[in-house]
Order: sequence, then C-alpha cells, then structure tokens
Amino acid sequence: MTLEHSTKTWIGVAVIAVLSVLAVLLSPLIGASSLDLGAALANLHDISGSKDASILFVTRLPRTVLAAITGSALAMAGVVFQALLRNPLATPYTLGVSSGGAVGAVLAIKLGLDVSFMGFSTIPVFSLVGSAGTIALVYVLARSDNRLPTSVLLLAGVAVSFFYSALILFAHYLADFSENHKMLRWMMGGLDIVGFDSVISLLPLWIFGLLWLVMRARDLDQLAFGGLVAHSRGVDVKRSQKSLYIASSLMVSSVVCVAGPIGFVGLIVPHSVRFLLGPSHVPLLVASGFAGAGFLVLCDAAARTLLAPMELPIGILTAMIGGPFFVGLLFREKKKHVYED
Amino acid sequence: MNEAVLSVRNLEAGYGKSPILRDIGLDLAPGEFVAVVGPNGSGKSTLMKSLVGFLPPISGDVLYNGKTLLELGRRKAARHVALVPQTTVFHFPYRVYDYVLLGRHPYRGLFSYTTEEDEKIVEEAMRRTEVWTLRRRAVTELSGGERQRVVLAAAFAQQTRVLLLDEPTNSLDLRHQLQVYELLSEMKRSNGLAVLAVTHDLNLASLHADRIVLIAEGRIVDDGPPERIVSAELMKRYFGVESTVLMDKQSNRPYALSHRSTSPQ
Repeated sequence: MTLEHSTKTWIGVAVIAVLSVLAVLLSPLIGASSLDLGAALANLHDISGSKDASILFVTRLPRTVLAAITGSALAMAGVVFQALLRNPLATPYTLGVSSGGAVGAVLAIKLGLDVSFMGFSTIPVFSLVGSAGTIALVYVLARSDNRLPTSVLLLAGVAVSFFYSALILFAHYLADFSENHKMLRWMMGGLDIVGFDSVISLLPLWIFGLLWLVMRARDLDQLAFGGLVAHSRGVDVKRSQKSLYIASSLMVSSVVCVAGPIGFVGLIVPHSVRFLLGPSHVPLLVASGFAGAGFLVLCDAAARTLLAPMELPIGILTAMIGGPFFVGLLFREKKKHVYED
Repeated sequence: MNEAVLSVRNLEAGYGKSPILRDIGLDLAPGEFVAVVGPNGSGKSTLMKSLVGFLPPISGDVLYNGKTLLELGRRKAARHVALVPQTTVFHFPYRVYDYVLLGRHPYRGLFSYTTEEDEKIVEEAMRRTEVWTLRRRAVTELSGGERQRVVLAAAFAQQTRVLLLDEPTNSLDLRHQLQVYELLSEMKRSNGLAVLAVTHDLNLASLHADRIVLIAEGRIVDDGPPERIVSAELMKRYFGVESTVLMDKQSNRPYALSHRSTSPQ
C-alpha cells in the first residue's frame, strides 16, 4: 500500500517536472517579436551579429532562466515557511525578507547609490544587504533559549515588516519624480534582464538553498507538528529551525534582489502541489521547485505577450492571479472552521 | 526486578532561573506502568518536557539505560523514549499511514527510502491500535478517538522502551479513554514497554497503573501502589476534594468518588 502510494506520488512529481521543463524550453520561443529558431541557433558563434540569436540568447533565454530560478526559490521557500510557521497561509515574505530587500533598494535609489559597478547595478547589492539584515533582526528578536517559537517568530516578522513599510513610504515621500518611478518599478518586480550576468551571480545561493532544503525536508514533516513532537522524534530542533529559516530566507533574498518582490508564487504553488500530491515534504518540496519554475516562466511569457508590444510587470500579473486564489483558499478554510468556535 | 530503563536523579528543571521541579527522583522498570497525578500547575507537563530533553535540566540527571540524553544524542535518544503530547494539532492533511510512518524518523537516514522493516513495523503498530482500516484517510478528518489511536500508533512505531504520555485521554469519551489505557497495558505486557502517563483521572490510573506518583508544587510527595495513593486523606490534602474511596470488586483496585471541593491545606 505504501509503495503504491509513494510510487504514485513520485509519478506526480515526475509529471510536474516534465511539464515545467517543457514550459522553460518553449517559453523563449514566444514573444512580441518573431523569432527564427533555426537562424538563432545557426548564429551561435556570432550572437551580436544576428537579430534572432541576440533576441534568443541575450534577452529571452536569460529572463526565462531568471523566471525559473525565481519561481522555484519562492515556491520552495513557501513550503518551508508554511511548515516552520505551521500556518498554511504563510509566504516567503511573511517574515519581512522582501520588505527588507525593498528598504535596501529604495534607500539606495533615494541616496543616489545606484551606480554602475563593472557593468552591474548596485541596487541588488543594497537589496540583498537589506534582506540579510532583516533575517538577522527577526531571528534575534524571536530567538529564546536558542529556539524559534513559531508565534514569536511570526510577530517579530510582522512587526519588522510594518516598520519597514513606514521606511519605504518615507523614502517615497522624500524622493523626486524619477526616483519615485524607479522605486515603484522595483517594487512591481521585473524579470527584464539583459544577458546572463545577474543570473549567474544568484546561482550559488540558489543551489546552496535548494540542496539544503531538500536535505532537511524530512525535518519539516516533524516540525509541522511543533517543536516538542519534532524533538521527541529525534530532530535537533534548534539547529533544524535555524538552518531552514536562514537557508530559505537567503534564497528568497537572492532572487528578490534581482527580480524584486514578486508576490503570491510562494503561496499558490505550494498549495496547488499539496492539493495534488499531499503534504509529505520531500516530494512536496521537489515538485514545488519544478512547479514554481514552470509557473513563473508561463506568467512571464504571458506578461510579455498579453499587452504586446507593451510589457506587463510580472509582479502585477502574479498578484492578479494570486489575490483571487488567496481569497478562494480563505473561503475553503472558513467553511472548515465556521462552526468550531 | 529488571534494571531501570529510565531513572531520574535529583532533577531540577524549569523555565528561566526559577525551577518548577525540585529534587525529582524516579525509576521506571521495563513492563512497568506508572501514572503521574497532581493538581493543576504542579509541574506534570514540565516533568514530561524535561524527561524527553525538550527542556534541559537545571541540575540532576535523566538516564535511559544508564545514559544521559546528551550522551545518547538526539536521534539515538528518540529510539529510547517517545512522547505523546497533550494535544496534536494537524495543520496538514497527511494520510494516516504516512503520519504513522513519521514515527520511524529516528531510524531513517537523510536519503534512505522506507524499508520493508519500516513498513512491517508501521503495519503492526496500526493493527494493534486498530487504525489499519483508516490508513488512506486524512488525519485532519478523524474523530477524537481515532485521532488519539493514530497518535499512539506513531508512538508505537517509534519502537522505544519508554513511552511518556501527557494526559493521553484528554477530551475522549469513556469508552475511548479505557481503550487507550487498555492498549498501553497490553503493550506493557506483550512488549515490556515502560509507560509513564500524566493523568487527571485517578480512577483510570488506579485501574491500570502499577504505581502512582503524586506531584505537588514541583516535588514528588508520594510514590506507591494505587491502594496507598488513592486515599481520602491524600485526595483532601493535595487535590482539595472530599472523597469517598471504595474498592472495586471486579478489578480489586480502589476508586474515589469526590463529592465536594475544600481548600487545599
């Protein structure tokens, strides 16, 4: 019975993986301008000389890869946060990682620190510093006896997020028109990068996070029942909570600093996958990684083509899908709980 | 008598600097069923948390087969002692089978698959607790009695020699309360499981426990057979109730009918 069940689950994981890889492979072929794939591939040796090759390799492929990395990071972090906080409505941003990143970015814009350094913009660096600072701050605020009590963690995260919202508004208030536009555009999230440089720069954190989370996925199954139960089943709760929180938050920080705070991916994807495959965290985490990549790549393809030749900021699109999804989820939960108290 | 599987020596434990438990000494032999009773706030749950090592002791030792929890390490310690907490909240709809399988955690490696042995142990634990037929159901859809049996099955699947339970029959109806205690007694007889159960139900404790440990204000004030602990005098002194204690001819155990609250002395 169990083998049958777990084989079924892993077949589900495989199907999701194949569909997501297909999405990643096909999405670069769709876009506002037409693309001759044969011509693009034939001019591999001279990318800048061929229009088709440069569309494919300089604009579409990098942003597709960025979408895939971002989507998978957010979806996996969503799974981790929901288990750690024992709350199905938690997201990777619940504990303020994205607000911290946003504070870093808007301050950098306001203070004119947005300079180009060796071809890189410095905004992602400031955003990453903001996120990392937030991770540390929330951790220090919530830690007691070296553990991270769920309710305190949640309150610390929300409190810090509120404070940061005020900082962001303050930065907006002080900013001039063009700074404001830049800030707003950053907050909407965007995958429009040129070339692979920024993708490569976030690869190390992504790979590290990916491996760490999958390795620790079994602990999540135990932590989902609280620290005491997890401890009694042999989990080193302190170490496990700390490393899962830090690894998933760093992973989110790294994608937020390049792509901005793209919302709802970390909520929609884990829930859909949990609905399809059940809550066991090893398959859930792996499948969510793939599904998140596929989902955001498809959203990006839609964002590029829906209003072509204009482009829709991807954060707006995911929020438009995510908002109703969230409400639907709430209604499902509400029906379950309405006669409980 | 066999050597103790759990022995507690001069344990002092609590939150922060002020200890809640003082001078706790306790031995548990294989195949022994010990009930822990005491008024609210006497430190029973704190005792469970410190015995399992979730709350590190301020001083004193908790030994499993002669080794401290630190010597054993977390994973190995979880093969010696399992815990059934006061309440288990299911936030995610695990299937009953998968939930019981989670009890095998201390035996599984980072990447290892479920072995045939794991499957055998899980099935046996589920048949014993009569939840095998529920195996495809979601844990979130179970009734209170089913839920507690599933939680017990996961604890049995952990295959420890000591099982700690914190009010395992809280919120169950009479039949399910008895069922839980009968299961524990059966595991004790057939597998030599040592059971330490916190309870508020003195009569259930009297019926199934070999010994009753009475805790008040963080100290063990008495430790003995039900015949001695279930007495009108102790009930009045530590629980603040006036009771009539009678002998049940069927089980040959004392039971208390408490009829009036007084102020504890």
